[in-house]
Amino acid sequence: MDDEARLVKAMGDLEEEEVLALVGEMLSAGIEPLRIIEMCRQGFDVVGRRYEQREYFLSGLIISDEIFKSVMELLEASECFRPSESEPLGKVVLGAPLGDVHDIGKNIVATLLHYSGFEVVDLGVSVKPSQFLAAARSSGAGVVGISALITMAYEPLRETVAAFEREGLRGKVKIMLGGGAVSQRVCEFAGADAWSRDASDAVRFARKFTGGEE
Amino acid sequence: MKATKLIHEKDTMTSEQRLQAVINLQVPDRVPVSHRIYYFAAKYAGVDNADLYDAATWNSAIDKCFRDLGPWDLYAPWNFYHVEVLSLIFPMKVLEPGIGLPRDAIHQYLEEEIMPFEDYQWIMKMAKQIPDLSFLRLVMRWLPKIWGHVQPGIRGYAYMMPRLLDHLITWRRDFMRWSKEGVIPLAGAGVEAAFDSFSMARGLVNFSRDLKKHPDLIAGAADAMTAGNLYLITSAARILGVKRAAIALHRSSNDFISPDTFRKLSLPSLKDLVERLKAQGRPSVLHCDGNWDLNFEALRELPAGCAVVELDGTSDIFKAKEIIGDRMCIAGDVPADLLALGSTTEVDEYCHRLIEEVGKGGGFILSSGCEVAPNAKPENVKTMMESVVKYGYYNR
Repeated sequence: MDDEARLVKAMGDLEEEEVLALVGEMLSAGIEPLRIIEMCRQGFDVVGRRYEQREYFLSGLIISDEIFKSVMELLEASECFRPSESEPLGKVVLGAPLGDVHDIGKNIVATLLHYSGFEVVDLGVSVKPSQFLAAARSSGAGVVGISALITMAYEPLRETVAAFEREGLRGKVKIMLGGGAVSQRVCEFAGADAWSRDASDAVRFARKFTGGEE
Repeated sequence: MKATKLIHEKDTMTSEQRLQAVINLQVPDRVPVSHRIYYFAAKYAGVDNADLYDAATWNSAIDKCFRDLGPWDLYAPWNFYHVEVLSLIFPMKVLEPGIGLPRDAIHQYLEEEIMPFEDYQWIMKMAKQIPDLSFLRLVMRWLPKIWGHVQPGIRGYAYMMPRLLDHLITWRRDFMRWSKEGVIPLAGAGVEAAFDSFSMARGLVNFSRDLKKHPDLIAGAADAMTAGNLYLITSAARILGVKRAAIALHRSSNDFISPDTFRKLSLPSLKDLVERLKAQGRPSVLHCDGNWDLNFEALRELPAGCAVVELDGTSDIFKAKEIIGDRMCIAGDVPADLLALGSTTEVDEYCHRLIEEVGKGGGFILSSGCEVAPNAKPENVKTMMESVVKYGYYNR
């Protein structure tokens, strides 16, 4: 097995030390950082598949998120790092709704989307409907993702969707909901386009909404 | 503390007899109904959430719910009279209504490290030296990191002990008041299970790493905490006068961990605690947040006829009935979104289905499983309570 295959495997197996050691070796050997990112992304896909197949659970996604962050720190510290100039698959605005300060689920979705090729505009927690609207307008994002963990978020979710409706943006922007508080009933109440409690579905939805394959 | 008054006209059992029957997996006169109402009571009674720490305000709010939307058989205490006592059970930084949040907001936990990594080893050593007092020693080590005004050491104990005692005595008064209405507590004293407690105190990110790299430390420290958890429960139970103990499991669901991890790291200490409680004649009420579908099989390892498993609408309660229904009583699971957004017809239909299918042959408590959403429709809560009269009698 060559270094690249080992890196994909180590990432897929969530072996943090091995991933970081391999990245260090590959950098020393003059491998392009963008190539290393691509290998890590492939490993990340393995993690995503294992999560979908219920071989991994949320704790696994959290670890993969942390490993990827550490890899990026290593790469960004290297002299030869240049950010990717390739076009993103699409832009996604993310945030937790007004009144909800939980961010773990949103952060995982942000990482999954980012390494799946999307540009993510992360607005953080307790985001007002007007802030979602402004971010979608200024970024030109075609997808908004809202992660809610508390039942008090139902009304802010509906108000956010209604704000896009009022401003005539609903035809251009798809809105997806995630987090422990959402359900089909909540999705219908809010008037959103899709929902899931499964973080990996966010990537599937975003691909579909931006015209790609699910 | 005897609750002899019958709740409904056609009842032939008291609430105590009915609860005993379902825990023993027998058929009672009818399906008992419980709930976890907290912030809903404030909204319904028109008071601020921040005021629920005041006993008179809380009791007035919950009484209004009971009068207008009840009655119910079981009262699942979910309120705390001192904010720091809540942190003894849930060791996490928290924003509270009136403390970091608006007075009408609901509390929200923050994923920050309260427990440093070194504490796993420290816990194992400490619990060997003072097994019975290990729970208290541990939470008093963590509390100053949650609340800046609680000082470390003896001053912290001096601050907390009167508050803990006041909380327990006030709960006991509440229970006595409820007994006059024929209502009994589902459980009295309670703890967060050791594995789940570490997950909260370490924070999700740290704990996820620990699961991968140091599973033996987690298991070892969790095992070491059983004596301390048992001692806290039995000491508090003496004050409260309630034998049934609550064990909260907020981080053992299959949302967060695999069934294999549950079986290896969470279940052993849980099983030890449930068995030791059973040996003292104390049933356990397991509050199982999240999706437990893949853990049900492992729950069969717990002793039969001495535990209630509360499900919150995320697990498949019908599957639970199939897999563990012959081993433990199941409580649940009218979901928060149904109570908040559904119609009374939908609530009625779902409760009817629960009673017919999960209640078949006894061993079932109809309840909200987890907290009734603060924005639940009152008419839906009333529909849930009434459904046990409409559909819940076994000899109809």
